[in-house]
Amino acid sequence: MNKLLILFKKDIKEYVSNNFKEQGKKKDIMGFVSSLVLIAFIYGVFIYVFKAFGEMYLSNVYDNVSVDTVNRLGELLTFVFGIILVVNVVNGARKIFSSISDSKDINVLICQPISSGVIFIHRFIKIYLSQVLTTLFILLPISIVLSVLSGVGGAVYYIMMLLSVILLPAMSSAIASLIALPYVLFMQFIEAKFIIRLIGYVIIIGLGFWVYGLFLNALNQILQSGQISNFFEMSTIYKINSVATKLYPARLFTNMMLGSFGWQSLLIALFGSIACLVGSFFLIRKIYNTFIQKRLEGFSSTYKRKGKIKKLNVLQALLLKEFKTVLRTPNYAFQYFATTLSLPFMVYICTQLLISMAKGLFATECNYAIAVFVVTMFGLLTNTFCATNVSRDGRMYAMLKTLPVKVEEVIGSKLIFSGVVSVISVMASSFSLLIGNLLTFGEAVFVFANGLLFSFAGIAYATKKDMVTPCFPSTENDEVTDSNSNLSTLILIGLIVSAISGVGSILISVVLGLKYSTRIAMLVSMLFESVLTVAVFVFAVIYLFKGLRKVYYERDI
Amino acid sequence: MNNEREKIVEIKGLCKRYGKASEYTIENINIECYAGEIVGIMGKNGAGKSTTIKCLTGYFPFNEGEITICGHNIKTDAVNAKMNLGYVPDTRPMFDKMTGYEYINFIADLHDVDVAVRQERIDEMESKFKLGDSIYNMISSYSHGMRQKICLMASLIHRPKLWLLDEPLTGLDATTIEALLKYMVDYKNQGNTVFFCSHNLDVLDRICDRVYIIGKGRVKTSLTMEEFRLKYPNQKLAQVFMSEIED
Repeated sequence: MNKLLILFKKDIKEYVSNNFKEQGKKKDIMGFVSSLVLIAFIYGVFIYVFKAFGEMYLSNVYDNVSVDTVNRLGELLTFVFGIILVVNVVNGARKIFSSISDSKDINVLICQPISSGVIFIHRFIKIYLSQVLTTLFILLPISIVLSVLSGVGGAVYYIMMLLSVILLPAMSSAIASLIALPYVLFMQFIEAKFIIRLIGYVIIIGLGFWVYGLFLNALNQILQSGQISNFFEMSTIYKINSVATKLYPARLFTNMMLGSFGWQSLLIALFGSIACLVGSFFLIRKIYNTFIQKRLEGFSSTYKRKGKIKKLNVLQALLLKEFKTVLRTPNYAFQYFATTLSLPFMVYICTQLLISMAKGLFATECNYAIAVFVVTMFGLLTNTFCATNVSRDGRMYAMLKTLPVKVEEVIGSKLIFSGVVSVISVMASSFSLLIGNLLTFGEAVFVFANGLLFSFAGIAYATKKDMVTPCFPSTENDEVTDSNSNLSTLILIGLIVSAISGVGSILISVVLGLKYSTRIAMLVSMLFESVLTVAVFVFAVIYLFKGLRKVYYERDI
Repeated sequence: MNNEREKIVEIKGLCKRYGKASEYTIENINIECYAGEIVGIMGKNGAGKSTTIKCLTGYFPFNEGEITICGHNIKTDAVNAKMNLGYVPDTRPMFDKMTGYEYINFIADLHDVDVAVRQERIDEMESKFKLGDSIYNMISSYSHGMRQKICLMASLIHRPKLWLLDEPLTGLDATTIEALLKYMVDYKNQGNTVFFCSHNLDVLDRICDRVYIIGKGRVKTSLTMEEFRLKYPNQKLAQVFMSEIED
């Protein structure tokens, strides 16, 4: 217990030191404020949308038949608990895995007289507490909204809600720690099998987007055909009810809040959580030390390669180095290749959806302007990978200064490496819009050129920003996973630029299209877009090259 | 005598301060190294040895002074200066997602070394440092000593005129230390310069031709081993070092 307290004291001291006491550390005020605003906005939208949906769902009349509000409330609550449980389990498993594989203090703690059981409990409590907070953050507004809408409420309702906030994360953290075991084993198995892992990523991303596409297409069809009312037929409601009543353990928490077998459900949830906790504690305690030691030993020790060596010039050597670093690091590989694969798919689906929605809203066609907006936005946002272009090299970034390479070659290799992905993904995006008959050939070529220049501008800006304020990993084996000021700045600028570009183009297309002709509207829109793109590109290039040598050579790292 | 030999390193009036610190970490450092000699640099922890070495490599910027390697200024002609430099840093940073063999070849590519030549050199160094098949393993799986061996091999793949080592003996086993010291002497005998810092004064005493003692960011003493033996007969370098440092 004493050692557990020492570990928590260490966490608090580290947090205070990192956030309030560290001398000379530039505070990411812009990132903090923009994150806060973004979170508040998303939270507000979420509550608003949920309230609107709740109103619709809890209305008493379906197919002109009056139904029970408490039943509808129960269904909604059960699905909410179910979703929270699944998200908590997945997130918890990921956190437990990273507490073994990425944690920066493990190599210190493992040498101290602290048992692996205490280390695991310390990690587990942190994960549990973070899940309690997120569960409360989601469940509290939902419970209030549903209580106001349905008229169901009272002391028991809210007490049980608070008990659910305590019990549900206990259950989800315990299940997560059990799932983490095969997850860690699997990750260990594929650690050094880079090609297999890459194929796996491609399959997972492909499947994910296929499902996402199906969902968006279905949503689009429902909105277009006005068949949304079918969702609220009594037969559908009966099916939902049937699923919700069997959806355990989520249903237990609903029963607790709504009072149907409330106390029995509370006891089952309590004993279930305790059983999961005890089971996972004994199992994980047994294997935790072994896994930590394996991690310190290096999972990749089995990798061996005796490839044939070819002589490369400096730029080729640096490019190959970038490729190997990314391919052989799971997070980087996923981010890099996900960018290539996801952009065309996202662009096609979203452009199609927006175009079909715009048809109903505007009396004129503005496909081209919508495509520009979507390609610009996704193109800029998927460049967030470049916000770690320099930091990924770790201490070797500074070591490169002792080698006979110019800063232009070091940075050039990073720009080319990121640029290749941009060219492929923007080209595939434009091609998909052309093939899908959403754009003409000329429009597709313009969208490609425009999107590419925006992407290059994003890459140049992000790389230089990372040079100026790098965020190096603290140990050799660590990966740059922390979100930092560079990332938040890049996202914020990306959103602003794409909003100006997209909304400007759409407005010009609609207003001039209605007043004059579609052709004139398109020409003016293209002119606006060209000027904006070139301006952004020129700004990014100037920012990149201004003081490049000084930042590289005359900086203590 | 020095004037007849090729000057490999010249550090003149080197001053360096970190960030916005009011005082210099190293001040007015003057060092010269010639072809065919081993030069040692010693001093207490925090004396400024590593800072001097890092300025020499281009790793750190410096505020005042001038540094040349084989006549090439480290600031204005950096690439040519670094073509003549092989550097083994104290922290052994490397690209951990490469194998040892890939890393050595990466360094060889940056120094424009032909494939046949580099293979010959790798085989020759491998026979001395004995990494075996581990050279094909990923660097992230290496022990401290193995990392050090790869660093040493990579720093020599282009046969630099200046071989610069910061605490090279740390983490090496006794056999490898002996092999490394012999290698340093052989390398010097081939007409190159070996410049290194170490806390192991016996080693400095044994293989150096000249030593610089640094204290509080300044060069306290500079003398050849011949001068040392004449000036301090029957004394060990360690004794002189202690008295110089205390002064």
